Amino acid sequence: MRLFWFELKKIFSWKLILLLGIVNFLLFYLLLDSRLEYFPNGRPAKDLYAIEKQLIPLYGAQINEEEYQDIKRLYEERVRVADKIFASDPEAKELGISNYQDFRQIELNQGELADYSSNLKFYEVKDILWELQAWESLIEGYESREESLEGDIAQTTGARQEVFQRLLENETYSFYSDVVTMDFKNYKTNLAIIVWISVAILLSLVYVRDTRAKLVPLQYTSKEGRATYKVKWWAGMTAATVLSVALTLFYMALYWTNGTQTHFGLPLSSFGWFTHWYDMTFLQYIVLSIGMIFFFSLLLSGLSLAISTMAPNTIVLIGVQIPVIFIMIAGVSRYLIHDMINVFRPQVLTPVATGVFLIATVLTVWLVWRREMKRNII
Amino acid sequence: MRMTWYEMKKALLSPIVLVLILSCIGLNTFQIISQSHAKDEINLVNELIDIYGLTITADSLSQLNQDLDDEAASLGGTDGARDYLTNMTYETYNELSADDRQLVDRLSTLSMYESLGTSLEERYTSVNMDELRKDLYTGLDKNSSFSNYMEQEFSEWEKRYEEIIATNEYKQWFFAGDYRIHSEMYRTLLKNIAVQSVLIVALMTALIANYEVDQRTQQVLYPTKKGRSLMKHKFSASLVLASLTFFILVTAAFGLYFIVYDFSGVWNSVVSSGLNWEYKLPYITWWELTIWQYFLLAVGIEWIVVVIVSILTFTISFYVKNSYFTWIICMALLIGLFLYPALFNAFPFLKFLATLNLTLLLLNPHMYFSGGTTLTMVQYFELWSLLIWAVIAIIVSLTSYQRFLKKDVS
Repeated sequence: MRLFWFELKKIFSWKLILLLGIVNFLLFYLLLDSRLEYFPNGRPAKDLYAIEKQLIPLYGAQINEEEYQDIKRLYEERVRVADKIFASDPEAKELGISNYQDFRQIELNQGELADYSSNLKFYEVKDILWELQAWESLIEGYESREESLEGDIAQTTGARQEVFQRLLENETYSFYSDVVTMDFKNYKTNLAIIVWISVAILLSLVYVRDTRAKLVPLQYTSKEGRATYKVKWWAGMTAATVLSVALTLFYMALYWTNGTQTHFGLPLSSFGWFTHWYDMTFLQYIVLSIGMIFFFSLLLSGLSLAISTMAPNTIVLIGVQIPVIFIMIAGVSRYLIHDMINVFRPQVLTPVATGVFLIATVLTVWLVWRREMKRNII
Repeated sequence: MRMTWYEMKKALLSPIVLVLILSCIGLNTFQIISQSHAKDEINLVNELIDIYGLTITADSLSQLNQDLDDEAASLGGTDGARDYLTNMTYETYNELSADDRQLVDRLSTLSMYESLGTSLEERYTSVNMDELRKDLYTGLDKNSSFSNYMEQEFSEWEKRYEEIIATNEYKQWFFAGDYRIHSEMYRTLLKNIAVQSVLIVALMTALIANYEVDQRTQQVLYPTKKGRSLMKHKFSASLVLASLTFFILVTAAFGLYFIVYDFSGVWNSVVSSGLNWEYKLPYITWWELTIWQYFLLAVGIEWIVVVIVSILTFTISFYVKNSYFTWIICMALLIGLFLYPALFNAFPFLKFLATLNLTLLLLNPHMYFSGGTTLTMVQYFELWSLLIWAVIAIIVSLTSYQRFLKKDVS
């Protein structure tokens, strides 16, 4: 046990901690910062988000006809506010616009009118116009809820079609937008990349350090010495676990500050645009995502330790880690984290690919481990 | 010379470097091939240039129009090519013989070029420069000297735009903007090659520079008279290898690229061609650059960037005597360069200086020599960035070499 603590202390050397700090600082600003600072990004995303925050506590996931009329009344109240603005705007009067309805009918290719419209929207920042646009997109989505599902059913086949059919039969319509869920998907993908890179940097040196110090032949001649391989391995996995948990907690705490908690209790099916193979609440989805990230973090740790054992020097080590990290970023994070249960990926993709990854890693670790236990030293 | 070669061999014969280079070539090949489904259609522009010449004139356009109508007539269309194509439905298309179908495809592509050529003048001259000026980055203070500088740059660029119109420079055939040839060539392919080169070059440089430390021979070697000056050979070996890696990747990728896409007629066209219009704006370059000039210049700039990265890596390894840390710090440095202009958001001039940096140059080969409203689109941006970073790299590498010569062996 004492050896284990020594090894753990060696892995968390102050130099590596410092390096990890720098790398995390940079990657945070490169990948995550803008998702926190500019959330929700742009218009009408910002307005959609504000409306959803208002509606979800009132009406919950599914909107029935009565609630829908309520929502429409809320919308019409806002329209009246806009009407007043147009009624009192001399420029609008000149162009023959007396209320919001007139403004809506502006053809965007009519010189002066189009200028007026884009001026209002982009330069004078009339919030109400964007807000109304957001309301309208929600209301239109609700009005066409059945047609859009029928359209999906017509375009798909097999199991995918069944998912849409089930939604239609159970009358599970999505009322809200995907502003929050999409943002979380991008956030968790970048979070995964940061955690994985950190773990790879932490563990890559574990065995190479000994190889480079020409320590291995000395160690392996004694029974105790060879057993250190296992101790180091467990210490490495422990270190990776500690680091992954710490980083994930830290970045998820930052995500918490976005204030999307209103959306946590809603099922995924109530958010528009993307449909998922399995329905669960947003919070469950978050937990599942973090679980997947952590699982792959452990697999990558095992792989890194195996690479560290086999590499004769740090150059080979980095040379092998480059393609491994490339696969993690371009493949795993994209398909297995971001699009985890997305209906437009094959249903079996995530479980099968994860399984293959698991088996390949376990096999590699096992082979390397066995080799080390029996290796001849000359 | 012999010593340099021996130093080079250390990296060249390391199998992992070869494997990395080969996988990068494989990746780029895949990238090119997977995008090439429309290559016959894209290559048709060469035929167009062959027959009607490189410049778009009223005569050649009417000639083209006439020829297309004739062709349509021979296919059975009586009211001209455009009419024939609009009346073509999916069913009638499928009833045609395979040869005829090819002719119709050809006709529709050429007719697209014909309509692009006809509407070119109206479209190109309608770029609203006053509207663009609103997006101009001037920082916070409207009357500072920096904001005046940006205004002046913009006016210069506007003048250049008017010159392009006056000299009809934009009226030259190029691949239609919808094919995104310029973006694929530079933004995808050349940028990928440069990034891949940087990854490999930093690795090789770290290997060569830290070799004696990694092999634990430094205490034997550096006390000798010749020992420390070996660094010079290591240095030149790194630079040669950096260039070699970069050009191997460029040759492999663009060799294939120019086999897939036929540039024979297009080489002498210009980047500022009105057809080279992919997104919001056409590429309005600061100078009249032909396609081959731009290609050579872009490759040249990326090459120098890669060499500077190699010099910086070499310098880092003087201090960090560990190739693992050296490589990671080098990558962190490049990412840091990408991020640090944002620190100076409140100080526009400092932000501008920070923008003249290596990583931005590395990542944006498709925007080289183009004018526009952002900080990276001022005239001579490329030149200044390269100069500043070459000077920084040379100064830090020389001083750290001086320091290294006098240092204790440890």
